[in-house]
Amino acid sequence: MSGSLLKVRNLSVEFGPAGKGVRVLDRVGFDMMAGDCIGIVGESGSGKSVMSLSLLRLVPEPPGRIVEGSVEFEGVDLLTLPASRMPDIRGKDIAMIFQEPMSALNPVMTVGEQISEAIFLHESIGAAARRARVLEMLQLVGIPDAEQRYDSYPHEFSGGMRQRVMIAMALACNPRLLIADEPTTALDVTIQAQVLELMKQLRARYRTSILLISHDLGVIADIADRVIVMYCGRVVETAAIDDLFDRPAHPYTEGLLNSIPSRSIGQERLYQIPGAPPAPTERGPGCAFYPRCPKRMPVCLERTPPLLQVSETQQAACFALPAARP
Amino acid sequence: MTPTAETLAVAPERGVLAQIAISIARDRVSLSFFVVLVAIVLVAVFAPEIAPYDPIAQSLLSINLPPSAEHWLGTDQFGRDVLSRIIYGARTSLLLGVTAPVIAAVIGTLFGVTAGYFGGWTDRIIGRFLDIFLAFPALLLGILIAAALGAGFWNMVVVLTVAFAPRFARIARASTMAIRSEAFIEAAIASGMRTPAIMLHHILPNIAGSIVVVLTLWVATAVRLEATLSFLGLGTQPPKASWGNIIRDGLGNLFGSPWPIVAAGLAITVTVLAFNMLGDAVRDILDPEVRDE
Repeated sequence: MSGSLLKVRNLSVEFGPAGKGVRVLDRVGFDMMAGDCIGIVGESGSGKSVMSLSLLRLVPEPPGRIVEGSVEFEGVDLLTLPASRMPDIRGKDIAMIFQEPMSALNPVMTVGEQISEAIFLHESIGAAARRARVLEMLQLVGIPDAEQRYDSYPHEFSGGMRQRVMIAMALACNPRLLIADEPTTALDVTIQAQVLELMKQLRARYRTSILLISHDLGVIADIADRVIVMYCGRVVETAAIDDLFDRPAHPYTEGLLNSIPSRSIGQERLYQIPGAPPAPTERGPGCAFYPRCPKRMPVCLERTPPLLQVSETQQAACFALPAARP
Repeated sequence: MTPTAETLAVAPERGVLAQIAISIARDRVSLSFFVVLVAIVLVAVFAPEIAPYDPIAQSLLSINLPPSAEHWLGTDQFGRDVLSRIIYGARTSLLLGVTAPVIAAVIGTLFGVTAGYFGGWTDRIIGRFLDIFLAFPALLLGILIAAALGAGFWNMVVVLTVAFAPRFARIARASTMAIRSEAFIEAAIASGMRTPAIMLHHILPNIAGSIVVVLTLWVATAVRLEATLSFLGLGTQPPKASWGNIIRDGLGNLFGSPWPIVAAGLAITVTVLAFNMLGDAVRDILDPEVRDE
């Protein structure tokens, strides 16, 4: 149950030509224990998807490039492994679910074949055993009439069902870590709730660690125990889920929480963080949140605040924190 | 070809080959051309059983005969039965017309998928080579290579393969590039699939439809080119019968007997037309814009 599963250190990714590339991920680091469910939250362009892709070395290269850092999975640095070893890890030890269930399945293969293929890649079991396993997976993710659905094509499935199939494919080889990149973003709210419920059940049953990427704090609050908040390619805060909601330490996190619409009617305008995130090319040496920050100070322009310990379970990168004062 | 309600109802994302088969079966015009093609193929396959005479047996007693009960299409200047020569000619023409494009499709797809999948320098290098070949019209390239290699059936297969492969490569490359950016390819990589398996299991089935369409059109061209090359003396060598050969032999004897040229010309026309119509039908089925009109 315990023990380090994933240790990410200084992970930096650049896009564009070497030397004058744009840094979209800047020295990201975090730890994950076996059994953890960590949510990664941030707005579009904050680097959360690139981060999840770079864990499996899936960043398209060129134009992308992992320039430094290490991704230690169960003690092995995935970034220094020979590239030819990566396919053995992808799907078997670390599986991934993508955002678009509509296009993440091959339209000319039956659903059963695709799950079967995911098993075939990593386990040498006979065709009959494989089929039995596929049917079991289909039932597990709540596809009714698994026997008939085995031979269905993806276009005969709804979005929610396709995402269930994606989950079945990802879990078919019983991975130790599941990376879910916005798994519910493309689904409507009721289906979203069902899929999240399913992920929670599977997590409880198989003890799979989950790294959930989302821009929706509600989704993250529903399932994660810890949250990493990203802004402009950097980790700005990491906290246990309750701490984050009760006492956000970084002004950006605070802004995010304030932007969640409440259900009461007749309020004034919804809150929004003023401004927009700077383009990756326009970031100076200082804190990327400076232009939008209500607590900004001159020092914020000079250098990037490091991650500071706020409490035992919480870290944030801000000079306005009490911990930052000498 | 106006699509009927049934053709419109064909599921747009069903396996492409199955989709083509269903739509052809439902459309009367495509079906009739398909039947014609099957008939031509059967004639070619069972030529020895069907042909009334030996196609190369000469008879000085019966030269330049007009069509009659014994010789349905008459005889040529050597007294050979024209019908038998046309039937045997179907063998040569079709064998070549199918073999060369199929080999070209395999080779071209290999290069096209490689270029389209990897992109970057791989694509640039393969692409430049394709451009060089594509700069020559197929016929001119064919004549050049045939002149260099000499005549003969297998040389002609080489000629047509070299001429056609870049055309398949271009189609395969474009289709692959479109499929390459689909999320399911990324998902396949993320599930630990290696590149050759991805090409075979995910790319190929998705581009097979376009390749098949192009294949039918190039088969027609191959039949035509075979006739052209044989006519120019660079293809099938006499006395072996091929449709181009029959025309070549018949031209010098046009006033003796026009029947060989007329018959071979008709055979080529019908075959090429059938393949073209079939190719058009298949393309219409696959092109949603045409299909939905």
